[in-house]
Amino acid sequence: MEKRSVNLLIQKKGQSPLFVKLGIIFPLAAVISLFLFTVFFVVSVVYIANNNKAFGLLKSQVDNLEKQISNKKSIEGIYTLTANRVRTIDQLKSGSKNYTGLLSEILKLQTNGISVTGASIDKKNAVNVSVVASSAATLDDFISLLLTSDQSKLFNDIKGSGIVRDRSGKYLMSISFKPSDRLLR
Amino acid sequence: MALLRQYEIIIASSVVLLLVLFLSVNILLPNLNQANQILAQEKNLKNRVDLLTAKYKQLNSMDDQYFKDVFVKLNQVFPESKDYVSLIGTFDILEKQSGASIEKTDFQLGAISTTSSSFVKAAGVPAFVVPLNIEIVGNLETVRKFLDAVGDFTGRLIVFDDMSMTIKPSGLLDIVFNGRAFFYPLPTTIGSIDSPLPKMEKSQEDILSKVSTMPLIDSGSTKDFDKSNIGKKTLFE
Repeated sequence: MEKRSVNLLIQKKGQSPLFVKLGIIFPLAAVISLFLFTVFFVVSVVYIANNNKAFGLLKSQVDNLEKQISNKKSIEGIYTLTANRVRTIDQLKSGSKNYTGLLSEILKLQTNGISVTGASIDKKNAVNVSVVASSAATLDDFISLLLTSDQSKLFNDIKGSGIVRDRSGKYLMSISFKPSDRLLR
Repeated sequence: MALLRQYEIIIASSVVLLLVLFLSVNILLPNLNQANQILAQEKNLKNRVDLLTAKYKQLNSMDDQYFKDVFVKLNQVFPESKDYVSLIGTFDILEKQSGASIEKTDFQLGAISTTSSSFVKAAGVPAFVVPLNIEIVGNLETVRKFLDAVGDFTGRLIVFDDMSMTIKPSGLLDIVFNGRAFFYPLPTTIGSIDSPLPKMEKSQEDILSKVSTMPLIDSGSTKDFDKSNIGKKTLFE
């Protein structure tokens, strides 16, 4: 008869490397996540508790200020309307013209033998002046005077049109020009 | 059972992980959201407090009576309705102050109702216009005074767009100005409680101080009536 041996010790089965790794990773992850959760939770609760109080104080400060400003509603209304009106007036006045300077320069064109009979200025600041010269010589002097005005840049882009000699021997002429901006301020 | 015992650590760790995940989603995340909201709202509230404090200080430092008086005068210069009475009053004042003689004034009546929608609004201008033309006669000095008075808040705000002049045989200037007067209805609201007060630039402050010194146009006065030496004062003369 063959001798048989019975092994009473149960051989431990070998664990897979993956199982071993999981056995380390899972508990570690659980502990870390629990720890982090606890920390974040406590911090958030403390932060909310502290800031709720500060938030409440700020809210009551805002309410108080709004109440005070509400009591000043009438002066706020008058001031706001006044400021808006004044701003509009400023805009409207910025485009306004004063013709005093221009009229003064036009009247200065009147010399011996030259008289200005009329003048006009349109929205685009184009000026037309009608003059009457007593003779050809005075007309010539007048044109020289205009050239001086052109050089001094008071009148720009000077053009003459239609010289007409009337029955009495006088010369009627129209001139057009653009005045310098300073003549319209 | 033996299998359970073999995996007990992994199972317990998984339960803890799931519990932490569940608590994070249902408790921690809402808490963090709330904290974030509180932070953002606190910032907004602080800004609001600063704004309201500055606005309150400005309002507190204002002279109520000054602005009430100026506002009435501003309404003379730039009224909320066409107000032909103040326009006619302005022409009278311009004539008296300058010495120029106003020969003719011509302005459009247009829609009589101020609430009508068919106003003429000038292009690119923040106001409704009353087109007008005015003919004056005077010498250069009186015309200068007239134009200065027009530009100096003597009455209604009038802007001239063009002019034509003839010189009379007497040497006096006969000038026709085409221009516009302005008006604009007052708004019904002034903005919310936390909207900042409008700031005024230097040019606007100058306008305000000029307007504050102008006299009120007396549109209903009859005190000059008795001094008038033409016409009948009563029906029974």
